Amino acid sequence: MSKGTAIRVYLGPVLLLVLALLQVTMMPRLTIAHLQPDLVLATVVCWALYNGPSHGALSGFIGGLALDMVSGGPFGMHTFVMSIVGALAGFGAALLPREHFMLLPTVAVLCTLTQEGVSVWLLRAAGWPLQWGQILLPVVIPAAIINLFLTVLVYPLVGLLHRRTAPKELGW
Amino acid sequence: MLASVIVLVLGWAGTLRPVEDGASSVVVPVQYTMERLMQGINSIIEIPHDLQSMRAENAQLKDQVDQLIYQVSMLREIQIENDNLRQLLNLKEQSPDILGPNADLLFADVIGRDPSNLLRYLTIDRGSQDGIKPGMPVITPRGLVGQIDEVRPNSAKVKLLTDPSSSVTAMVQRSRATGSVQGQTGNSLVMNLLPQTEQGVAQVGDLILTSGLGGSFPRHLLIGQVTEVRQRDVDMFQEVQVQPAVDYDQLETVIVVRYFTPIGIEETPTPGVSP
Repeated sequence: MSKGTAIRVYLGPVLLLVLALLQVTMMPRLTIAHLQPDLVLATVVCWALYNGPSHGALSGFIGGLALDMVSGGPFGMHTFVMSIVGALAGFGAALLPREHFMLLPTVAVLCTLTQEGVSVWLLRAAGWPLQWGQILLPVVIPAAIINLFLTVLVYPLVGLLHRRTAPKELGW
Repeated sequence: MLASVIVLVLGWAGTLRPVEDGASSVVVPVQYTMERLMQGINSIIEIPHDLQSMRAENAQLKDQVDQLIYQVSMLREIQIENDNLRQLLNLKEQSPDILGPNADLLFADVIGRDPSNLLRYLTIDRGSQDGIKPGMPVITPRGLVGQIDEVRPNSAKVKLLTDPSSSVTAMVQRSRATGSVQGQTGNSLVMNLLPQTEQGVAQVGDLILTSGLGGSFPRHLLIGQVTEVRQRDVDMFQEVQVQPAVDYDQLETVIVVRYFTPIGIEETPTPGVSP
């Protein structure tokens, strides 16, 4: 196992756990209109953009699992939602070139909308009386905008980590 | 030798005083200047030594400042803890009618908040090892915070009043009308099931308190203040918007009510707890 692969395998889950802890301790202090930026979502989306849907889904699964351990909602909700978001972001990267200026904002907004949408669906199924009309404008759309800005900030950092840990391609 | 003896004798006799004074008036300024000059030279000579000692002193002072900052920070924390304990004592002493005579309260620090924008939970640093059980009310001296939802050995999840699935029976302090306060996404509360009357049972500015009905929460705990009244003739009930009394985003410490006397029932413990 190369050094980069080892970092991905061992450090990746630890990093996502640390991000999940930051999400519940630091990010609530950085709220805008009672909405907190989603650090784990931004990281998973960026990682998926660099590495594709399978890595995206895997990082989403681990990040979501870490969030579920510190969340008060139904256990498994974040794991499920983040896995979908990671895969979706990875597929988004396959549709547009990574350098395309619209890739990052489009994927970030779409992923937040997906995250909130699937979460609402799951919470409603679990008995939470959430109404789309009450959350779309005050929560979902502002959260998408906030996460868009956070994703733009996180993208270069994840890119750096990706370059440092990417397996070297074999060539002639 | 003879001259020196003469000078000595004249000096003792005081005859040479005018000469001494005259010489002094010339010598003293020169002496002063020389002394200053020497001090300056001495200062220059001692600069390396002084720098060394100043560095050592500076490092020592920095250490002292660090220690003092730490001590001040610790004293502030102790003061905050002291204030909290005083508030707890006041809460128990001044509100025996709210919590009952044998109320059992426990302080807990907030160690996390829910990562989702759709849910409103807190994580506290006390759990089943501290006698906490699901259903116990969580309060601050400002009012009701929520209810214990999930308990682990050394932590617990508090479902805030503003969580969409939270609900508590409440009353308008002025009119005594009862209804149900429910959480809403976006950190706000709504009170509904208020009866429609011509006078209006709730007005902007009215305080909303827990009614104690159902026994889940102590009665007369402050929930918030009415900010908007929505009344339509076609509706059976009216609805009011409530601004929570507690700023949930700034909570650092909460109080878990491990035991209180529910309304109308003497010495009945909260879910599964003995005082």
